[in-house]
Amino acid sequence: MKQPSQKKARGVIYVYWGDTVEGELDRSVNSLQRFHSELPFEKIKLENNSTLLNKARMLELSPFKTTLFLDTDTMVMDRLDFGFEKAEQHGLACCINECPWARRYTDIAGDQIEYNTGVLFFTQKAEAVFKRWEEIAHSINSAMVFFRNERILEMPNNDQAGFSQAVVDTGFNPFVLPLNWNLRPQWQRTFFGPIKVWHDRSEPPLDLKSWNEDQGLEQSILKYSGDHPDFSILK
Amino acid sequence: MNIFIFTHGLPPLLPRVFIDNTETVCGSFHSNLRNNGKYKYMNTPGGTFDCQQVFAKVRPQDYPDTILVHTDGGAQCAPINLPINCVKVLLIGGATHFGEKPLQRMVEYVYAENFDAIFLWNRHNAHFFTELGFSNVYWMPGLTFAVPTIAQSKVKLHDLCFFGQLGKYHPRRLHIIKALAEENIKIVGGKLPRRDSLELVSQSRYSLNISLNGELNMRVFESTQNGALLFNDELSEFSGLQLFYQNGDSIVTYANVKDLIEKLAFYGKHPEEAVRIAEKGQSITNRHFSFSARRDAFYALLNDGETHHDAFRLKDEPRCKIQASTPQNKNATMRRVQIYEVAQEIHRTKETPRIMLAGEATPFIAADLADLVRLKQIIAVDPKTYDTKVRPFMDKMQVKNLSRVDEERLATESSDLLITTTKDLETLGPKLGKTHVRVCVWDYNPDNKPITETLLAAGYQEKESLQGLFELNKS
Repeated sequence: MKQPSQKKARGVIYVYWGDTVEGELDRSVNSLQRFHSELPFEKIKLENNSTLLNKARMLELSPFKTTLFLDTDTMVMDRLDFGFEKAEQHGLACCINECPWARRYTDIAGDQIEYNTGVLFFTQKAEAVFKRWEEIAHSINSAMVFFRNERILEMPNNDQAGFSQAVVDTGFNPFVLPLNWNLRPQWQRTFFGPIKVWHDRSEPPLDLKSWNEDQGLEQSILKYSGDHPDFSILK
Repeated sequence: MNIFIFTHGLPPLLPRVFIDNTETVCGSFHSNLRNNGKYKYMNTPGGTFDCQQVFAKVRPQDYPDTILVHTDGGAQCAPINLPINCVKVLLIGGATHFGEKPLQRMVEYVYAENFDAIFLWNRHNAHFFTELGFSNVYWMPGLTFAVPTIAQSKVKLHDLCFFGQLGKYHPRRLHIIKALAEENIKIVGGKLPRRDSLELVSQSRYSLNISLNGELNMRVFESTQNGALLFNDELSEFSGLQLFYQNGDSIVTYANVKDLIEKLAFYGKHPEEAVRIAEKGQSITNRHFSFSARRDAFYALLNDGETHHDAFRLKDEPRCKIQASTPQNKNATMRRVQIYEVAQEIHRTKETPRIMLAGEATPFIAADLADLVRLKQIIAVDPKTYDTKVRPFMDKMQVKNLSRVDEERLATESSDLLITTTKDLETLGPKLGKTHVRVCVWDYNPDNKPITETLLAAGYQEKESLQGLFELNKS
């Protein structure tokens, strides 16, 4: 692992495994370069038998002082400087998950908050969180049951359980970014202003791109997407 | 310098900077934003509004030295009561070539506010302003708006792209696109977000532009700057396109769909030639229409300095040498503006429009209509009058779309618009059939009942939109 003093300033990493995500990874990289052609990025491929639980190694694997981790199924839709600034100020900047209740995981109770680990801005200041996350990623029971089309299904593991617990265990206070920074369109249909990161395998619709072109400008009057019933994302 | 810019534009379509980083941009689509007490953006009403109410919110040290008003034929941004102790510049945007009374609105606005300079996007409309006596009238296609820079694609993924609107104001576009589709010519694009459009151009070998109504539009710069070979519909020489770009040298122009299809096939077989032309087009756009080139030209014109190209000063436009010296002459000019607006609307919707002029109609109208590139105008006058009076003036005004017929033909020839006079109608009126879709009486007087009755009897009904304009009764 590189020492902090040897690391480049800001950059983006993708941590992935297997060969099936190459297409969406390229999509994400292209979108990143559209808005941040100046930012270096690293595609870090883990062993093929890796799982979500191996994402916890991201701080250790990153060659940057301030890192943005992106899931491969994300698309950058606007400048992300603010996220980097908040990470540099607070150590960690991220969004609350679309389902904010970490108690959906077997080993977590109460009103504990679940964060989405698909978009994480961090620096070395948050080392304690990542270290704890790595420690418990494989031991915490992160299985969850959920409804889909009125059927009950089970997901055997999820890295976000460990991350949520690590934040609690270390007492760390992350800077919370609004849902625009990690929009999950299957569940999050309305929002104010521009979308920063689209987090879904589907393509962002053209009307969202037009929306962003307008709403991404500081001189534009901020709008609520729910006021536009024809907005395709609502359908 | 404190620069205030009032604009009707939507923020995504406007430049990041009009003139200077310290400017204040005001518009109905703009939010309020202050940096250290100075407005960077201000929300102001749309349409006509008293700008003194705007400046009442501004700190005294921020009062404007220079005001730019960016508006267009819809007068969606028309601040009035502009302060007298600053430089006032009007930027008339591209939409003066369609819509309801676009030029009349602009002229009325210029009369009301005392602008120090007027910059027009559409070169071919400038002569009306110079003729009416406004000084410091300049041409600036795209005004001060440069095309945003995007990363150029190293790989051409597509052959032909088209981006832009295909709505009710663009019947020609629909017609041409459909015709290409019928020939199995693949086109990618459509109505895309702006950045996507520019990226698409960068990824395409050719970019198709179809003007709304014979104007030099932003697509010319967006296409060439991003490395595609521009296929542009032929524009009249009054548009100014040919002052910078030539067919087969830096762009490709086409007269009609058939010509377009043939040229697409030709350049498809001669890719090196296509690349050469595209590169030259790109170099011309970067040289003359980059942000810094435009801004420098803008400042030079305001300060009467040297510009990098004379075209902006309109000295070569023969119609700009005409001056209406008396109030009666100015009224006549305004009447011609009204008639021109009818003609340009016909030109927008018809592929090969025809307009006839009766012998007594002033030849100045023919000079006005010269910039409607697909228009055929025909004057019905005897050969001697044509050769001695009409033709020399037409040559001086560089009118190339006018021909002559004998006066008797007026009653039998068909046209989309007949421009006639009260005197001509005295002989023509009784013979008038339903061959002219519209009739416009140049010197119409509503009190002249016989003329009105003649036209009504011939099957025409009066249009409320313009005094003296009659249209064939469709029933």
